[in-house]
Amino acid sequence: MKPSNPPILETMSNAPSEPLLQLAGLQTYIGQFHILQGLELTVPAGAVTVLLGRNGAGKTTTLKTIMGLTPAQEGQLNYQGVSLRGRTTHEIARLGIGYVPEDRGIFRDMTVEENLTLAARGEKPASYRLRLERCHDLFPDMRRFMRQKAGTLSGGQQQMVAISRGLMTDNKLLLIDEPSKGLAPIVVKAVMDALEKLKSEITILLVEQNFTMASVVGDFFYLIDDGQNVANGPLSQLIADPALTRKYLGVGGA
Amino acid sequence: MKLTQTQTVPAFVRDRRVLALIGLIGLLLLFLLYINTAIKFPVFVSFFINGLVESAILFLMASGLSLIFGLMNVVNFAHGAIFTWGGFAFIWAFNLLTTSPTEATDKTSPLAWLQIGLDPFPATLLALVIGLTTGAGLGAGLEFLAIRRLYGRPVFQILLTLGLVLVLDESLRLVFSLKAPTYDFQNSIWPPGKWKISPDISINWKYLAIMVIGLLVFIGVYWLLNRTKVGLVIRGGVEDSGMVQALGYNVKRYFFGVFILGSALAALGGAAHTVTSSGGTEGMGQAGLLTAFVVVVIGGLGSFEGAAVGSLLVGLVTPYIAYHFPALADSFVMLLLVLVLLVRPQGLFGGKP
Repeated sequence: MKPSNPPILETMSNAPSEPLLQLAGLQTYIGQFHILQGLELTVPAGAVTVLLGRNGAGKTTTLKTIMGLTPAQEGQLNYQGVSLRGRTTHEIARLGIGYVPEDRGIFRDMTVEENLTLAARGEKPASYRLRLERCHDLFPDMRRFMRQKAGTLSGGQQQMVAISRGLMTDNKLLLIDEPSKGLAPIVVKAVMDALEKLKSEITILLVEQNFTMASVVGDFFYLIDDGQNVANGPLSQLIADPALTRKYLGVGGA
Repeated sequence: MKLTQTQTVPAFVRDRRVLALIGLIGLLLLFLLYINTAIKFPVFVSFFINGLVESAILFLMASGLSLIFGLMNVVNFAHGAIFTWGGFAFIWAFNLLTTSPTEATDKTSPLAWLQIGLDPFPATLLALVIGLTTGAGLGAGLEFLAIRRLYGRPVFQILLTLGLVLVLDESLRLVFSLKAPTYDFQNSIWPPGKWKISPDISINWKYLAIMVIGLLVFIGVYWLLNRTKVGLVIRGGVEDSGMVQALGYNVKRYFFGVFILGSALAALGGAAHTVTSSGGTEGMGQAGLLTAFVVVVIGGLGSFEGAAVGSLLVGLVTPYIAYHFPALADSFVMLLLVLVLLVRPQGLFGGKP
């Protein structure tokens, strides 16, 4: 375990050698809408890949398609050498993929503790305690509201629970959908710090509209538009290219 | 009952649902006291005991419905038919098992070999298992073949399960060819005899057994839902089934299990009903089903404790009402429903409206 996040060069050098997740020519329809139109995406192991794009570009659908919640009609979807196509959501989750949805997917009528217990599928008590401790290290605030009903928490607190849930089992890949959405800046900072600490342990595919957060946490980026990727590479490249960010994100660069 | 010291009452009493419950019980008690000045104490007590037994049977049916309708939101009218089937399977199995081979009149049926002349004790237990299995099997078939495709589509559920009521009730005659329950069915069921509490008051042991079964079911299911991971999966699956699947659980399988459990409980209720009413009648399930639906709504959809409290309320009060105001016996349940919904639209133990 590294004390601080590794320099970008290091993750870049080992990244292309072992892609954890590969999407190729992915086509997903929701009803009559053609959302993903031949998406290509490679998530290298041990790094944070950020999915950028404007609203409706297909970022959330990409994550849902990986989880099997909106199954793809065509294309390849390989995770550690096995195809996820045709698998049900719970089978995909059991392969070691955690999902933190945009609305956080918290079970409101359960306590925070129950939320985490439910997420710790098949964990022995000893390893449950270790994982819980890890989550408490990441989000020290969480200790205070373990016995509170999750529905009564603030958005930021719910986000902490949602991310912690993804860490309660032996997941190798975490899909996180817009963790900063609707949160106060100080809470965004807390989530950002937590992701920074996490990146040495788990591969992350992050959907993020908050460009600051994306540029701080991310190693690689994929820019998608109309369900296709239009640009990708190391994130430093995107930060150095204000024209690209202006065109697809409507922001003035970093 | 002093409710004037509101500033000093503990926090849980200030919970509105507890207040509503206390108020309701208080009203009912006053009402009962008023009408019971007319009846003698032993009669009062025997009404109370009968009420407890009826509550237990009602609870067995309502608990299953609370899982299937209250929790999983499936409007299952076939629940009553499964109650009937469970009861009939129980009587039928008991009669067969206790018939000794020498007295057997029916030697041609494919199940004639079941006439092995068992003693009442093992026969009752075995018949219970057969009744439960019948209910569980019917529930499994119903979920697997139909309901599975109809989650979240209440209109289709109503149409389908109402149709199934007809099918199940009619096929009852074909399967069990039971004209009338045997004359000594109730007497031969185990456990026999009575418990004499006082010279005037006694209670059948088998009624006590029914109460114990009701209590055990409550404890068991409450524990399952609130203290186990299976319960978390079920409660989570009801709230957001996609998210529970994304945590790696096969929600369909858990729902299947809940449906089977609920149906088995209905069958158990049916078996208990045949014991207290000395046999089964074809419409017994449908008659109880309406009350069970009311109980689930009174208790609050999705609240298992609510179903238990609702069963107790309805079961305990009905005998007195039926005694003093026979005309109100049937409509009382609906009056109670109206009363509760006026005070708490979400039911006594329901969450937010």
